[in-house]
Amino acid sequence: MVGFAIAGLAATVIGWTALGWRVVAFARLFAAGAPEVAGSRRDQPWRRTATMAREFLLHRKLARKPLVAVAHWATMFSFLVLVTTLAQATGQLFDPHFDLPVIGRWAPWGWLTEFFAWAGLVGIGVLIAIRLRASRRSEGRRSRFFGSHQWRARYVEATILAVVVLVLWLRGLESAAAGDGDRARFGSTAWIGRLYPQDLPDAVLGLWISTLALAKILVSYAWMVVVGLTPTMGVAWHRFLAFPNLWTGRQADGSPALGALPGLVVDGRAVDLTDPEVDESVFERLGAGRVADLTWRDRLALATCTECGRCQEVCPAWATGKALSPKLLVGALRDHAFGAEATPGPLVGGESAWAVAPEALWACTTCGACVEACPVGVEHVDQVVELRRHQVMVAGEFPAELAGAFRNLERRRNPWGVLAKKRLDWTKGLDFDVPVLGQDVESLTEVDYLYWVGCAGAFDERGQATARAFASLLHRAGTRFAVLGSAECCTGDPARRAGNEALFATLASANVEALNAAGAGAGAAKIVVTCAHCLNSLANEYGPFGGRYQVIHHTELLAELIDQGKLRPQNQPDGIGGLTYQDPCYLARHNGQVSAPRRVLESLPGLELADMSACGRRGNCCGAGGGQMWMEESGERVNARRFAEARATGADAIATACPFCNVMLSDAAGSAGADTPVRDVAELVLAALPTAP
Amino acid sequence: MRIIVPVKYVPDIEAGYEFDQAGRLDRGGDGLLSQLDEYPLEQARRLAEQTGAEVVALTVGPDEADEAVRRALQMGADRGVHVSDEAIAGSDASATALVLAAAISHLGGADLILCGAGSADATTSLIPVQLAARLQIPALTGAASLTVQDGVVSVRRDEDAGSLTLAAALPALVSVDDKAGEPAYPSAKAVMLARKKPIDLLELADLGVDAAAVGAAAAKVTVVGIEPVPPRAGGQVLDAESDDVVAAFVELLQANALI
Repeated sequence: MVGFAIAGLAATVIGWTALGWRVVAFARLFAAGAPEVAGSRRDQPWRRTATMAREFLLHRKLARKPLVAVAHWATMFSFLVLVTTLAQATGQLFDPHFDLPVIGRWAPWGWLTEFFAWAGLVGIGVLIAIRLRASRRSEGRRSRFFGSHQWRARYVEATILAVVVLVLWLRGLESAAAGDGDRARFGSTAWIGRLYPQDLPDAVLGLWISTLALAKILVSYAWMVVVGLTPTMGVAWHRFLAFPNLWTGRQADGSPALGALPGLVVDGRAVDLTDPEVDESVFERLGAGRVADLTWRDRLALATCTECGRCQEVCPAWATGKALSPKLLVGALRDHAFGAEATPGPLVGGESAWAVAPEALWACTTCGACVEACPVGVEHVDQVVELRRHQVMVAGEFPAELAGAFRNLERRRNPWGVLAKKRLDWTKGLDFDVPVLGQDVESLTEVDYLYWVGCAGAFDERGQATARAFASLLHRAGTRFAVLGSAECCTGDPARRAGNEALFATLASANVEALNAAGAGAGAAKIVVTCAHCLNSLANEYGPFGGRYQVIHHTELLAELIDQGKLRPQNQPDGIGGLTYQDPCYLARHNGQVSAPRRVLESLPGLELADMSACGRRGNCCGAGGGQMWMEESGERVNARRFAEARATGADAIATACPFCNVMLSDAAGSAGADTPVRDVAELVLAALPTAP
Repeated sequence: MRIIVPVKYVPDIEAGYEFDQAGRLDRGGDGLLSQLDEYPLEQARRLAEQTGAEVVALTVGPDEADEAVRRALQMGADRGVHVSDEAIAGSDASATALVLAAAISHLGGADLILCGAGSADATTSLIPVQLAARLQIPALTGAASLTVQDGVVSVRRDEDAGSLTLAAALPALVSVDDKAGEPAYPSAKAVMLARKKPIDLLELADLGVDAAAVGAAAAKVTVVGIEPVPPRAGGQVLDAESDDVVAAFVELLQANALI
């Protein structure tokens, strides 16, 4: 028995030392990270605490896989409750009849322990089965666990399984050792005790108890040692780190880190690249190029990732065979930052085996499906853009096609490279005049809406058709509106998401200047946009440039005009019966608008709206975002895949609410040789109106 | 080593060119650095990286032309020189070469002058050779690649029949064509730093050039007339659904003496 006690105590010391040492090492690593903007990620502490508690207790993200959620919830709580059994087992090394002081002999405590031990047993059993099933070899890349460290996960699972089995077994033995009058507190484990011969001598029973207690202690502390030595083992560390990671999320209310991108930050201070006096020393330090550039929160998030692969499963780039998986990108950064492979080399490209491949970095559409799916609050899109910022602005290494788009944005202020004076070409063929601010309309006070046409609306053929349809609808509804004409320029969204923050800042400043000169701002006319990307930039990203506007998407305005009876759809548009709707990522996921376009479509006579299996906030990307519109795509096309999903609904036509979705799906239809029409919601509404008198 | 890159501010070709009554191109509208000048700038940047040479972007043009110099500074030039003088307006290639040569002499000369193969607007490609002649230095034109070693510049010129490798002792002038490396997109750092690089403004008096030797009055070539290319007539479409489409097509080919 003395030997048991010595072994157990030695394991205890070694286990806690390993874990404690790693916790200190982590704390140092995080503290050594670059600072976040002062005051960010720590504001509203109560709200953050509530967010963390909600995510922890309700498992909202995990609930999308209900069985996993229940199993994980049970396993998680069993861990919290069963930690006490480690103390119990330690006592049993010395005295097999040991019970925890105060609560140890209290029956409800015993029942609670047993309940969570059984729950943990079932929970971990289900999780093990699900992992085994999902990671069958035949699943290949389709498995969300593809590329995860499977043996690390299996080790953690085996530890939990062993611990819960040992807890229950020990309870059974304890019940056998307890007197008859004391068995009530072993509600569900007494039967295990009865499996042993009734006349077993007390000393033998005691030896059984001490042996199992030692086994339990060794299993638990072995885990601590392994985990302590393996900082890159997120599958184990998430049980501790998910709490601070959720607490320090970008949004205090726990909403996904989407919508506006964070601005450029160096040394915790915002960098304004439009300021001619900006300190030159920051130029080498824009974005994240090396481990030193990763902030403490970046590092925390990397260490927290549990490799569950929910991000990989929803990533459009991964689904089409690209090099990018959000999970593997996070894993590479993590190993680079504090794994055995930690190197000072560049995070992207370069020699290190853990460097992110440029093909992976540049395959991201910034659709945000990964961020939306992550249960532990990893902010993949922000991370990708930080890496891109360094590649574009410091390293000067990025796809050659992007340079063309950047040049067009610089010279002509739109990615197509068309002259500004052609910005009103889309109005040709309309039977009314589109009022232009500064020509037909003096100031925004004279109108209800400023229609922000966007570059696609101005220059792309499909976008022009949408712009014409929407302007016609505004005209027919008797809405007073105006456009900026040649004063409008690209909002900068493609530049920003491709990492060219300097160019974004230039374009944003120019737009804010033009809009503010026109009198836009709080209390002024609302800005209405037909492009989801313009919506996101104008509404969410112009604040730091002095532009705070009320911006609505055209589908919201159309829903309103239909509700008010100013537009009365009467005809079945273009003879379309079955229709499906592509949620633009920057409308639905980034800005939460999923109902307005559906309300509009449902108000059109004769249309049957059938959603795709992935829709709304969880819709799949068309493939154009994040600057992809201007880059070459290799392998299977994201748009082709999305088009196939749309066709699978059996719909005759596809409705969209963003010119980029429109272009991508129209192209996909063309490539597939299908004549499925792709129409903007506005075009469908116009087609449903009675012929103009 | 000092490399001087003469650059030109040209009107945006997409905007369509407009001419005044004397047949001169209107340079008042939106313009930019001639794209063909980006190739010599890129070569200059690469040479400067290897050798630590100083790169000077030099332009002769109206006030707006400093935009072209600014772009050149973003693309790696260390400083800019902008020669602007009312008297220069309307100069032909010969006078422009005179002003450029005077400016280069004023700057103390150059070891290597890198020019674009031509300007994106007039594309006469006269400046490189006239400038070399005025400076009495060798001109190697149409370089697809170039190297500088031990005071000698070597270039490869790709022609239809094959490649030529030419060499000349410095100082020399090389015109670089668009087969040389694609210009790198300037990093944010380069763009930011370019804002602080100096652009020296010079007038004819600073260069000691007689105003009477340049400008429209001194031009040796006169533009007599300018005719835009007539817009293309729309094509003829035959209805594929119609029964006699083949016959109609054959008839059309015969009528146009194509068969």
